[in-house]
Amino acid sequence: MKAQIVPRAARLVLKSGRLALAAVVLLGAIAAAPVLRAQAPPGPPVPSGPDALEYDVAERLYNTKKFKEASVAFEKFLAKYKMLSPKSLDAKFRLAASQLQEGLYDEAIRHLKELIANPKIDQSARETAQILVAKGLTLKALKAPAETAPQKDAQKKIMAEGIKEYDDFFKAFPKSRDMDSAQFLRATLLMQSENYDESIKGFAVVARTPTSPYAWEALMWIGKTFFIQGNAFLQAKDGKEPSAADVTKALGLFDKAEPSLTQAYQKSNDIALMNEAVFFVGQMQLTRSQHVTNIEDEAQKTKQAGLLRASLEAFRAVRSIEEVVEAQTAKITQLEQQKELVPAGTPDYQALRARYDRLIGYEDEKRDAFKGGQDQYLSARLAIARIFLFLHKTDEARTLMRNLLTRPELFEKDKDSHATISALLCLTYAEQKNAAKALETYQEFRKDFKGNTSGDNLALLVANLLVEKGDADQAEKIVAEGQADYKDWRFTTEAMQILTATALKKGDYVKALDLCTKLLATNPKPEIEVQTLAVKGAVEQAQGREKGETKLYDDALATFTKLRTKFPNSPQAEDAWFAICQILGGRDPKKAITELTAFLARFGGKDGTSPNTKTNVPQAQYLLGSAFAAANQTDKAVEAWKKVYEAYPDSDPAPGAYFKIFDVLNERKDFAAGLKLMEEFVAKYPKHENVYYAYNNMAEFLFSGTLDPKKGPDIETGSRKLLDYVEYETANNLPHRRGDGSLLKIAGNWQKELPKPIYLSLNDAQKQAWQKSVDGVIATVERMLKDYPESEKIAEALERLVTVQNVKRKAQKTDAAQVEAYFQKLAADYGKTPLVKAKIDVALASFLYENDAKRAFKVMDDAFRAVPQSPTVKDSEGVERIAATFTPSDFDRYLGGLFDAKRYDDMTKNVARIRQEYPLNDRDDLAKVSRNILDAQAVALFWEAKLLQEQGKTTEAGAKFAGLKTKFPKSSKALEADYGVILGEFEQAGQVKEDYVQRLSKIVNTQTGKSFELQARALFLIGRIQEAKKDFDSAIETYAKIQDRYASVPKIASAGLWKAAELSEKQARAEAGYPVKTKKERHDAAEARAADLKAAKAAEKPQDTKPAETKSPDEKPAEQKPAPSKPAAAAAPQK
Amino acid sequence: MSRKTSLITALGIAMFLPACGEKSEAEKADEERVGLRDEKRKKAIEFYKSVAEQYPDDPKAADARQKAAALEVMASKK
Repeated sequence: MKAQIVPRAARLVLKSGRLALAAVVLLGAIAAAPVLRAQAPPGPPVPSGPDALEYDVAERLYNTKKFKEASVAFEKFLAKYKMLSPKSLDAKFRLAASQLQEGLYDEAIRHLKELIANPKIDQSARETAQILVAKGLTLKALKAPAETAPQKDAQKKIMAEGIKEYDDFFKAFPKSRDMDSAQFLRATLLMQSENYDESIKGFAVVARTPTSPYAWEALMWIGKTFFIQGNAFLQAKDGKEPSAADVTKALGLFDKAEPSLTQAYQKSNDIALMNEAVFFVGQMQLTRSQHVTNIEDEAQKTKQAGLLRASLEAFRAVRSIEEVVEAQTAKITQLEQQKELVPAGTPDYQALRARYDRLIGYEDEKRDAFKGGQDQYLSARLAIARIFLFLHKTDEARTLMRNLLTRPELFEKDKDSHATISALLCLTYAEQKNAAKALETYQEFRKDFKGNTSGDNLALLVANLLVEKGDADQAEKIVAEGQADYKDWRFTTEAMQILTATALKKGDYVKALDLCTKLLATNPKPEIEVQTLAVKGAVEQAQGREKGETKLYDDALATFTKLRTKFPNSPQAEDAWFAICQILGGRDPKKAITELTAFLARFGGKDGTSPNTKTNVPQAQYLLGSAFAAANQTDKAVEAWKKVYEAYPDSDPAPGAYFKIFDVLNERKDFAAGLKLMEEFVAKYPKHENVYYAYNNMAEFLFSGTLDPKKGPDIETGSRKLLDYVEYETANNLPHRRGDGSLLKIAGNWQKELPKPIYLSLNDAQKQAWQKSVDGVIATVERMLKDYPESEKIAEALERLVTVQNVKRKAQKTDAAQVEAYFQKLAADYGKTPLVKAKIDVALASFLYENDAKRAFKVMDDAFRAVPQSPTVKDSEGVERIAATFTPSDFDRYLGGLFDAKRYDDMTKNVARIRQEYPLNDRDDLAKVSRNILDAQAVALFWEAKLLQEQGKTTEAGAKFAGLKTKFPKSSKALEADYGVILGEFEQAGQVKEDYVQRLSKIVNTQTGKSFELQARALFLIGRIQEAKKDFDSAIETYAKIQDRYASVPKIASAGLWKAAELSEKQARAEAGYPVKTKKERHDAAEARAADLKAAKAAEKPQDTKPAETKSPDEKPAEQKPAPSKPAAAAAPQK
Repeated sequence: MSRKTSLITALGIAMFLPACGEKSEAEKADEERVGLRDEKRKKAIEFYKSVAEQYPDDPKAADARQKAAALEVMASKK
């Protein structure tokens, strides 16, 4: 809603103001009108006959202002004495005057005209009668109804007659003492007839007559007339806002008004008049403030503030009605004193006293008018409250209004102002979004002023506020009240829209549609129908989108088509056209292409009538690309998308278009072009929220080696791309930080690049590559510690650092003491917070674990104790959640240590903690849950089972282990548990079950994480089992294989080699029980094994068949190899 | 000696011919085993050496070196 402070109230004040004052001037003058015998000598009249006595009775009634009774008395007199009594002329005159006071203008004028035509009356009596005719017509005009056009015409006619009578008066009595009041009233009529220029001329004549008591009044009216004339230019005409030219004219007239009003205020010394003048100055400054253009400009803003300040000052100067009345009383007393001081016996004695009488009457009437008329003090306070509201000084506005409301006497004559204040009070709470108080004050308003137009927007505003606060039901009730309280409520559409929006917000599409249908069924006005159709179509479209039902889309298409057909030139028709394009885009690409092409031909490069078209055009261009893509016309799709960012580079879909084309290029394996495009994107939209994806896509290309399959992965350049992003992110201090993930990715890729054979066997080039990889991981992790110390991914990065330090140690490039010193330095340099320090310490513990598990546990224990509480972080949507402190492996090692130390309570606490830090809900799809969460949950379940086992609760423990196996079959803990079972059974019974090798093979072939220790152990156990089965050749082969596959697990690899060597030696030395098998023996044995296997398979149930993902131990090793060349995953961000 | 000798000779020839011209399955297997054992010896040396060279920190590294050397000596004595 446009903020408008005053206009309507101002108009009311203006209108009633000018009528009231004109009436005062008239009635005061008439009441004080002399009798025809004005020239009679002073002294009490002496009744001489019955006619004189009867006249005297009637005259007394007149003088005591009992005009009705006086009229009756004079009429009786004239009926009895006709025009034969010496008092007949006076009686006729008094009858006319009484009738004027009574509002019987036609009768009064008839009597006055008869008097004028009567040759018996003298010139001065004729003058009085003539002026009274004009004044009578003036009164008649001002009191005439003027609501309808015919009424207005009739009023104008009367005013024209009045003006003519004044003109006749001026001609006939150019030297009349009443010239000033006649001029004043004539000017009033001219102003009322909107003949402003003539009116001002008339007021100017009076203002230039210093002896006239109306001089100051007239001067002020000059200002008021200019203001009224200016204000007329600012009124909406035929529902349209005033043109710029009209506003300029209005402001020009205000400039002319100002000097007269200011002078009247400063110099008249008449409190009533000053009050009036300053009130209008306030109105004028306020109106000016509302027409300051280009408000964003600082100078203009200052100008508006200045005008508002001036307005506030003026309104604050408006005095209370009591003060004005008091000043009037003092003025009247002074006039009465002056009247008594007129020296008796002078020729002007009577005339001067009569003039004082008229003046006293005039001021007296004015005082009465102030007492009974509109209170400018209240109007001024209302205006001040509105200004406060405009300036968002809501509390000040409310204080003022609350103060006014403590004075009920102010509102006795002005219920409308009372209603206005009551409504404004509610507005202050609505503005402050205080739903409870807004509702309360709305209800108070409704209790006292239900249906009053000053609060017709309250129901809408309060309902809107309630919707925002989520109280849709109450909002609906309020809207219903709004509709009930105001016939043809001007906010019906807005209210329906609020309700529809509420329903949509609640996902209640059915209700939203129902509301639209109801509104459409009421045969609404075209502007409401078009809006409702637009909403209905949008709801149907949204519903279709949600449910994916064709029928709903059909409905939406029908609604939008109806809208376009029925209101083709409406702005909504443009929106509907675009919506049709959107719907077709998802259903019928060919039709969509036709519609989109037409839409773009019509609006491309041009503005439509809808404000949305400007943003819809680039969207349509984007959709055209998508439609072409859906129709398998990828070349055209690329062309269309290209146009989005070329023609509308600043539009919303432009960045997305880049990623669309990227996807196409990726699919076409045109990786070089894809890389170039991403580079272009980064250059063009360096600050776009999706710039990360561009850097990441480039890096993925380079990491995967797709750009140059011969050369393979280019970790160095890929890392540089991601580091560019990290630089950008840290330099710009982006709110949503992704750099830590980028660094982790870099570290991971460097780690993957580490040549696998042992260092000593590497050639020079390989050694260089090895060094680069090691340095790459170390530098990246250190960078992460420096720039992202708060990152949750630190622990994971440190895990990589531990791996690399181990690699260095094995290559004899460092030793355990140096690594320990390194981690200690790292803790000193970056462990600024207890959390980061604890993470570094835990990393050190992880390193120590292999050689000194006891000491490692001590370090870990201290670190875990240093951060007893899990930290919290805010996600990208600002929702707070518990963050992970350590990696699942860290927790696993720590829980193992606690288990060994029999600290079961601490174990329970840490099992709970790991579940909090890596939460898994029952509803989560395990296939989509991150590896870390699965690992962590498996660790928790494993140690929970171990605890139960320790407590002798074997059944419960068994159930947990079984759960571990079914829920997290690929987790290292599930496999570890199975490995433990096999090892236990094998070592205890020394027997070999048929399924051992198969189960162990599954462990060997399931990659569980970054460590391969479990896999190496499982392979070693397979060797032992083969050995136990006296299948020495296979056993040797298996033992030796450990070194090939799991060089990263040196202890087991060397143990495997040792076992292979021992067995080979025993065979070589022909030790008893260690025969070598000849070719034939091997062949026979193999056949026997195959037969056994076949028999076993035949006996197996189908569901017990080996899992598909399980490989035999002879298959390829499971340890991660450098990534094969593959196309980079299309990482176009979701729009 | 004429017919009888010739017959015996013939029988003898017939009897001894297989023994002199083709070895028995068992002999072949034994021979194969000898070769296989030598191969095993070489493998054992290789494995021990790997332990000693690739895992010098391993407590068994020194043993491995010795065992490899012993197996090598065993070969030269053959």
